[in-house]
Amino acid sequence: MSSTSSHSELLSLLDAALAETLTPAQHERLQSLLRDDAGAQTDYFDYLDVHLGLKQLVLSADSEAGEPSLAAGLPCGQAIPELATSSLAHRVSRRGWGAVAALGLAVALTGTFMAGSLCWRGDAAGTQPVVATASQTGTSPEKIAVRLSQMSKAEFFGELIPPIASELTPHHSYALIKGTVELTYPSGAQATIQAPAVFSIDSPESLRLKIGGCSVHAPDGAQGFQVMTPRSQIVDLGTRFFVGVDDLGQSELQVIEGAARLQTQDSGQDVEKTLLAGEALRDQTTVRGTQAIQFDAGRYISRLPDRVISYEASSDQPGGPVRDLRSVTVQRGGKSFCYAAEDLIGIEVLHFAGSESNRNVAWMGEFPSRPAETLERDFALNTGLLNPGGRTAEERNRPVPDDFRTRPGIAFRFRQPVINGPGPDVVLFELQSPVYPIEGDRFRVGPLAADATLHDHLVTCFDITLRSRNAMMVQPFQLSHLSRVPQSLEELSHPDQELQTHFSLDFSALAVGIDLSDLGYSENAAVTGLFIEDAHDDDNIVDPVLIGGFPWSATPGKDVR
Amino acid sequence: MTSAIESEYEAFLGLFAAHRDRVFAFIFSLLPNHADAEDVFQRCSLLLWRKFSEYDRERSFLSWACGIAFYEVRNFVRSTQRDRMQFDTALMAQLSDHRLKQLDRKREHLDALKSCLDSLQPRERELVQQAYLGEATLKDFAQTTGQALQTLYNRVARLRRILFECVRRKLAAE
Repeated sequence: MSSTSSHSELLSLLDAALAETLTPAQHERLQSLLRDDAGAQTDYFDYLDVHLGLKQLVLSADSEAGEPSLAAGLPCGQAIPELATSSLAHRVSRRGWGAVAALGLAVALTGTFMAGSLCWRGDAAGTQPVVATASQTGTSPEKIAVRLSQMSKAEFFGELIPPIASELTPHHSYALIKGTVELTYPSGAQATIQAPAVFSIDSPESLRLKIGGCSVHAPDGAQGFQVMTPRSQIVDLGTRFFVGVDDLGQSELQVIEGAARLQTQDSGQDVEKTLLAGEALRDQTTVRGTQAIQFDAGRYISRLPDRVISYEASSDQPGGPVRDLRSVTVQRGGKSFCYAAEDLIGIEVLHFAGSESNRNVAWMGEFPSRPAETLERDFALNTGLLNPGGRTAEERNRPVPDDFRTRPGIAFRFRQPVINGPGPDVVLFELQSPVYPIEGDRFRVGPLAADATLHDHLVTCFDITLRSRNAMMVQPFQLSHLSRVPQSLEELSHPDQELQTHFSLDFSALAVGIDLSDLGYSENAAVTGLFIEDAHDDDNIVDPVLIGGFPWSATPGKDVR
Repeated sequence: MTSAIESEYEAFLGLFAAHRDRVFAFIFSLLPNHADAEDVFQRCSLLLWRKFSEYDRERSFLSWACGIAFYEVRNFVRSTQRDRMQFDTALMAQLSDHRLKQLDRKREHLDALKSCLDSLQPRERELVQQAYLGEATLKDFAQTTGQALQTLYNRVARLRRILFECVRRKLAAE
């Protein structure tokens, strides 16, 4: 900076810039002061750093006001249950079995830190000299009442996924890096957003989509719903449509049903285009205005994938760790069903063999005389047969032996055949701690006996993972060590009395639905049993604690809920 | 998610958490408008994760991240309306080069700022706090104290300059 007067002028211009009251002439002057002047640029950076630093210091001092409470539970029968859970941030602050606690803690702390930081960043858009928002300041946020109604394998960047049925934070930028979420607006409009996407809720009738894809269904009464993109505004006229926004902020509109209007600007002039079903359009930065594009109905997502949505389990105290499963809610063929635990089709364990681990029986109270009962006889989510074996890649290239008793894994028979209906037919719960794969341990499920028409199915990700607030922490349990890696059910019955681990630590129950069609079974096929083995492709081993079949009637129209 | 991806994610979170303030400061200095800077920061965060597999661990994460952020800012400027006041490309390139060299001392800057903030009079500190907690808070403060809002904005600007000079002195003395 060459002189005191221009130094002072620069700071005045910066005050105006921070207040967002800079005029075009002042903007030009600011540019001319900064151009080719390293001293002025240093002043500029330092002044901005004072501004950003003050925001950081004030907000960090203010943000020690505690975390929001979580939603209370709803009974079985609700299509979109809201479950009582423990805070994952709390859960991951402890250590799990045989693992390095520091890793989990570091991730947990980082995640918490990031959540705060992104919230702060996402909300700081304002028009006054000093900018903050309700979520930063501790004042009540504006009520917009847009709810997270469904999600599938979703993951937000740097923050936990809110509970199902909870309201999203207005004006907060959510960065969806995996999966799909569905939002429901007070008017009934639904927006299904696919990763990767960044979006925010600015009003009860609109969605701001900064990048990514979104399918909107605006039923009667929800006409006028809007999707705002960086360059355009799409207004619903009673319809289903898809909006995509690319990295450059260009929007694509595909109208599936009804009509929608796209409003944008071309050379400073407002431009409006109304599209009918079967039409598609893109606003472009490289070409003036809008351009018709190929209609592609496949861009529209009409529903989330079938999956286990949530479960309920009993606990000794509200919000405390859980033990017995009470119900499971699952989406099958696009519809939600809630099954009481006692309605699930139970199993009888026929065989168990490990590959590497000799820590195989999780139990409570007294060691069971017949360890298989931990999977067969109760609904406990903290007892089961852990660490079954699995075949190596080389072994999987060989023919499957006819006798499952020679294979590492768990063989079981359903107490009555499970009918292959739509979506998931079987649910499997496993124990997991945050120091192990957050999305669950990979495993294979296949037929009991080799069959040319059937095949194994690799499960790589649970439906309810540790990232979901619907994963519930379970009560403490004990884990018995065996003198050697067990090769039969009989060998499970003789634990080493000196070696058992009592866990008073944090483990949660993850759940995944298994669709028998994925194994090659035909629709309505009656399946009598299955074989489960660990994927055996890393150091982590699946830990089943409950397996059950969903009842289904092959006769259309008969509701078995 | 496989454990390899999980581990990658953890590595990314660690690096991103350590540098996110500086990445935001970098973006904000090219685009000194909060709403715009936050838009770009969010998009950039996502992009950094998507491109993390390309990141060479031997290089500075901050340089890599700011390199990507620079192009995101330029994309943003290209795609937004022309009536928005934004720096021209040549100036943006100058600011980008200069800013990157200077971001490393951000921690010292923040420490100095905290010390300077502590040295303000209690009433001045309270005003800064009310101002940086948000417009609504400052309006309440104006009503409570019977002062015009614009007067408070002016006083905040003056305090910011005092803090700016104070930080300068402290950093020069070290």
